[in-house]
Amino acid sequence: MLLAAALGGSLPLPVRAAQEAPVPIRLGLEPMPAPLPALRYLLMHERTDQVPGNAALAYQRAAQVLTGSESWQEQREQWQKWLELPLAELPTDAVRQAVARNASGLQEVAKATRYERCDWGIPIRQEGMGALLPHLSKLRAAAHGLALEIRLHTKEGKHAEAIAGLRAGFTLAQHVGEGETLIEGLVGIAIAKLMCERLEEFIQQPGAPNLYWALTDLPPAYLNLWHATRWERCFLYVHLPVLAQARTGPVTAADLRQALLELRKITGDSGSVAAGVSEDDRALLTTAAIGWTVYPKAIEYLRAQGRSAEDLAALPVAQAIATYVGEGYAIQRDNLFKWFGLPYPEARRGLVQAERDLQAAIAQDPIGTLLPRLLLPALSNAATRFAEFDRQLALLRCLEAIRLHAAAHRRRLPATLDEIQLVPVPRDPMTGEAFGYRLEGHEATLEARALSTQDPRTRRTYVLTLRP
Amino acid sequence: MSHEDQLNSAAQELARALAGLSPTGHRLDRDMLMFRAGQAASRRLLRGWQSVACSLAVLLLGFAWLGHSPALVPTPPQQAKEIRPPVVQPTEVEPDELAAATASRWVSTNLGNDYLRLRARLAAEGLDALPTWETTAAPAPIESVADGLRQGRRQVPRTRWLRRTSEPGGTEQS
Repeated sequence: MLLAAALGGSLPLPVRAAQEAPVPIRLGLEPMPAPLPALRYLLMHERTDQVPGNAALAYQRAAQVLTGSESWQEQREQWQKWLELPLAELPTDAVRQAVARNASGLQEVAKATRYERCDWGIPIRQEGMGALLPHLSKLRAAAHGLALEIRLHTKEGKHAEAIAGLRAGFTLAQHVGEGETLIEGLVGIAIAKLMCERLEEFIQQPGAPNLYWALTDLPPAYLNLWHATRWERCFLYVHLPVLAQARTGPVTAADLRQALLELRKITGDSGSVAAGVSEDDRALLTTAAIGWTVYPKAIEYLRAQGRSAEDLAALPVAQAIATYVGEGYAIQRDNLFKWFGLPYPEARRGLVQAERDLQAAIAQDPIGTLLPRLLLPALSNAATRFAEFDRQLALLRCLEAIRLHAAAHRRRLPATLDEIQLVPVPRDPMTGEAFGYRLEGHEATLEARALSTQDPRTRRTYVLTLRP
Repeated sequence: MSHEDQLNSAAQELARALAGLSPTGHRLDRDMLMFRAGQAASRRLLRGWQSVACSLAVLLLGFAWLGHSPALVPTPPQQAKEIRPPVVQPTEVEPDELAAATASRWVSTNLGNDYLRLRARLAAEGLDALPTWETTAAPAPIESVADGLRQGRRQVPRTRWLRRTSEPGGTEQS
């Protein structure tokens, strides 16, 4: 997308870090009952606090104020460092000054979150994957600014201000994450996770209100994979409409040649054209070459689909190829996307199977599976990112349920999670099972287990103690 | 020494060198020149016809293959007897392998498209995968352009992105 310049053309993809389990997170919690009324604190704006209008314009204005200063580059790096420090080591005075310097920008961000809708106006229907998303990187700056301000308020014990910042942050994540593309969905998830980390710090503070019901009140479809992948499954047909019409209408050689020209944009193929050979001629020759290779497979496929010999004899070569390639893509695509509407524990097995099917299909027919190979990778990974976020929210609710229970039971940690009866204790959204919990003396361990012994990074463990 | 002084001395030196030259008669053979010109023109014409003929042959071959139904073209070689539709029978998956299989195996795929590449990186790394999108150079103040022109400088004043850190208001940029 935008990003040709920003990515620097062909940045190498990162090498995966060694797969290590994350270290347990130690939390000192204070027992705290639910507030009265229960929804006194909210992580999303009430309707009455919202204003009519489109937040997108306000965000752009806010980001411009935040990132337009001469010293923005230095500031950005400094913010990043402050966000990585343990809260106890945060240099309060310096952060306070930085927040004050950017007060107008941060206020603009907070105001933008109050708008009741957010439409980025991306011409996705016309441009598909080629549409620009220039707002995303600047909104990362807005998210970092909010996160820093929340940390400051948290450390200073300003609970109401910290919760207002969290509310702005979670709404920003929603506004970004409910955009048209999966990229926006993933950025929304990342911003929301940043806010969850702040919330994790917040609930450890003395006198911090219990946010169990505030977390529970987040919208049921808050940042969900199904919504984020709606356009993702149609992108190919924006760029290559010929594949969608192959079943119903005639496909000519010219259509196929045009599709190949468009495909070069998707693949980012910028190979030099041989001297004296135009783009059109090159597409023509490629079409002929693909036709020669793919056509027999297309006929075989269509015959297996029940087409008669007469039908096949009358079918133009271009149409046979478009039908075969288009349906080959649709089969693999749907094999994956059909799971995105299900809860992760139910979808997990199917997602893995879909990946395996795709690999097998690629091994069997590398040319016929060119499009799935290009467009489908990383999607099941994205599904895991969404599920991890759901798990993070569920763990936070679990922690708040424990604080709530302890407040009602003489400041004691529950012996088991089943002992908590005041509120429902969420199950692990990644496994569908109860979180692991054990109490040893005055210390409890709350654990979300790794999904696999081969990848322990998905494990998340809290070691809990109650503050006197 | 000033720029103008340097220019003047160079110009004077050039003038002296030119003054030292003496005129001579031309050495071109007009008949030979005309012959060579005609020869070159006919060679270009021949190359043009060769290119056009080759291109047409390629195009005709391509259209002959794609523009007609199979009944009108020779049957392609039937080497695809064992090829099946790209649908694979499901196999049983061990639960413990699930997460490992969904891990970002695909991140290393060589994607040429910016969207797909960024999508893979965000799925693997989160927010840090977003490229830095800094503000672009601020326009140069009108006063400074006017000052530059008044003082006879031939260059447009540099924006703050191009100034050195030692200059006022500058940031270090390579």
